[in-house]
Amino acid sequence: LSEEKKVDRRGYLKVGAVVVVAGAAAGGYMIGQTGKAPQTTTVTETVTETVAGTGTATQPSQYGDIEEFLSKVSGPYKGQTVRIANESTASGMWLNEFIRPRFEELTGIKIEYEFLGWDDAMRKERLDGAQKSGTYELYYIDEEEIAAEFFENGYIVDWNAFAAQHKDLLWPGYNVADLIAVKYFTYKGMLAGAPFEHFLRTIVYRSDLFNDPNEKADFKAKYGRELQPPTTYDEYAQTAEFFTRPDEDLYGHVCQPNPMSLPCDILIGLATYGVSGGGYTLGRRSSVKNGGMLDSENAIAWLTRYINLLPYGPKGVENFTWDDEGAAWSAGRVAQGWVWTENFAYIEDQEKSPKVAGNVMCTPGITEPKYYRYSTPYAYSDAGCMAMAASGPSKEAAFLWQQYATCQQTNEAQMKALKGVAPRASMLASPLADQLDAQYKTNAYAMIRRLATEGNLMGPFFPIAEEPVARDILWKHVEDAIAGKATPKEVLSAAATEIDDKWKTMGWPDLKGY
Amino acid sequence: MAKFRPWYLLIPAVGLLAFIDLAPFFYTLYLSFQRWIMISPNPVTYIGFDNYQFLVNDAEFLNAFVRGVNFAVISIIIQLVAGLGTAFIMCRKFRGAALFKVILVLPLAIAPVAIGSMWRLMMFPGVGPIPYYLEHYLGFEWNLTGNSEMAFATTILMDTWHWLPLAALILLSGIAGISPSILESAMLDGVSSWQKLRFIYLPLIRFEMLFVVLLRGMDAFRIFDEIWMLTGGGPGGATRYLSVSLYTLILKAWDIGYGAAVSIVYLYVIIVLCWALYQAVMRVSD
Repeated sequence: LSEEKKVDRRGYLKVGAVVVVAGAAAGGYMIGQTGKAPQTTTVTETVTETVAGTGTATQPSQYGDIEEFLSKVSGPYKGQTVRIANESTASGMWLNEFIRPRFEELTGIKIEYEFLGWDDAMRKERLDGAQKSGTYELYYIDEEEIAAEFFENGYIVDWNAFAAQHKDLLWPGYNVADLIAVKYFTYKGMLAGAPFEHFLRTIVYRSDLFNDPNEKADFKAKYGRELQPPTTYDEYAQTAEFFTRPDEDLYGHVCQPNPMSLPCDILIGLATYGVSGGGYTLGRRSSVKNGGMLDSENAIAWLTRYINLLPYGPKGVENFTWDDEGAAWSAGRVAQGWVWTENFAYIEDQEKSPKVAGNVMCTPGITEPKYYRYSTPYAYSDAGCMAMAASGPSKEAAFLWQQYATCQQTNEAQMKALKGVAPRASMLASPLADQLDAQYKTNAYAMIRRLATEGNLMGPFFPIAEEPVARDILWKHVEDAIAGKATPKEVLSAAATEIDDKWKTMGWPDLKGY
Repeated sequence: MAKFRPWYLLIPAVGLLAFIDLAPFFYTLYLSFQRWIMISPNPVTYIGFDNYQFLVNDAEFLNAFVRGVNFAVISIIIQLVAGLGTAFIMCRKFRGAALFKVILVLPLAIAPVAIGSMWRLMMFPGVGPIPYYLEHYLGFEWNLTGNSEMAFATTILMDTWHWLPLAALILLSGIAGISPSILESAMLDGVSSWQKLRFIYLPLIRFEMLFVVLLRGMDAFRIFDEIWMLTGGGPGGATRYLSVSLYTLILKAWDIGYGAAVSIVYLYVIIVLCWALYQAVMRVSD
């Protein structure tokens, strides 16, 4: 530019005006998109992890009819890709490693798993659902309130309706009602998806330590009663204290209080103190004064118990995730504590965990007699399903994969491989369950069967779509109690008030459709 | 028309910038006036300034802001002082100086998320080597997961480990720019080391020092990855700085409307701080 053509201050202002007008135009366009989620680019990374020691490759001959059926009906969908956002659960990774290859071979449909942490899986699914971007065909869902939320927002389609409309794609021998966790994923009569995993979070103990004659004698001398698997929290606290020996790197308790995992511990524990559904009402209230139970005497007693048990855990337990918890188990550092039974194959690996392998036993769960009104044990029943994304472009292919991943034959192989996962009621009732318990010595299938028969499998979450809002508030407050900055009573009272206020500002009970 | 040709030529670039920078800003501004909780089936509702009104009294926001200011101020002071010392060391010629410089700048090449994970492994009680040796040799228990003050201090240590080399390199460029004749004159006049630092070095590298403060100030307020990996904001919210708080608000609680309001205020706080620092830098450079 020559000297006289240099841009002066006024020129800058003009450019500024152009920029503002362009911005306003862009803003106007965005405003026109009211209600749509912001456009974000999601970086996908397919992780293929090996689930060590969790099974053997499926033999084609095992599948008989369903394989013939799939080969016959999958023709039009050959070459399609089914993308799945999945939490990196043992069952999901096992399906990917051992079942997917055969399905792909049979059908020509490609299955692409994206394994993520729970938070990330939910984040990607929500954004995909809100944007209707069609990145995934199947969303992993593991809790009732997520199913409710996804249905309410139109992110997923009803499996039952889809099956009714595509009878030609439904294998005649497929019985979805046999899947135990179907009830957790049914919302207003709609089914989110076929559950492919079902297991317990319950108290597990090291049988070698509990049956050791020296330990038994020492325990009796100290506490005046026999050393046995705990059935109440008082008993649990005693055995926790007894086995906590930092010098031997052995601890009497383990849990997962990390903010990422804490809500599970808190909500599951609350139920064993007689506070169901996380202390919230279906009318979206949590404080006692509004009909909830989150700041009730029961809830305060539970949180107090939870915090009082932390000194019996390994160092750093205040920030443990499941991964840390599982690692402590497999390293033989824990005598008793909570376990997701789907991970038995991991924590009992013969090569990596020789101290633990063959020495972990399931209890049917513990309760607090003072607050829990029934005399039966009670354990959390966890499950996960693959829900069909409303925006997924290959729903038919996804429907076929769902059936193969959850058919009886696959479930049988899954029970054998993972040692603590039982998706089907018929399989639990079969001699196979007892056979596997005898082989693995975990007692997991007997416990799941007993709790299912007695009606004591607990699904602690109510189908409240807005529950994650409450969860976010709750863990922030509970964290203060764990850090010793406030008492359980103070934090639960503050959390209940804040949650009630939040739900009020969200318009409840004026929301429609509940 | 020829008069306007330069402006026409600028249109593509300005248009692109407007789309990339301004469109998200205006959209966020628009969202900040709405009630939109993405997990709720409730429709998006215009609520005026309610989100901003709530924000002014939101203890979580205010606490996170104060924590962030404390973190930024302490980190910057430490990095400035230690960076100056490191820069002086780098000025000297000694055996292994080249290797020292290479090792020193290594943290700058590591992704923040990897740094957070590394520090978690190093500092985690019962697992990490640092708490182990501190306890076994000094009898001092460093508890990242259970002690708020120690967790806060660990985030500052980690940030300093990561960014000290950058501060040192910037300050080194200032020191290297000082004319040797000035230093020789000072030596002939018999000034002490302290006087040299106080009356020669500090005044002459004040521009670089302010630049470090400006750069690190912006970064420290935005820090997220390392903290998220190291502590997740805990224990008891001790390391829940504004960015961590914002993340949980938007991507865990899905409160998009209120999160947008916090983002706008957060942006303006950073702009105002940077503007003040920029003015200071300009005044010094003049």
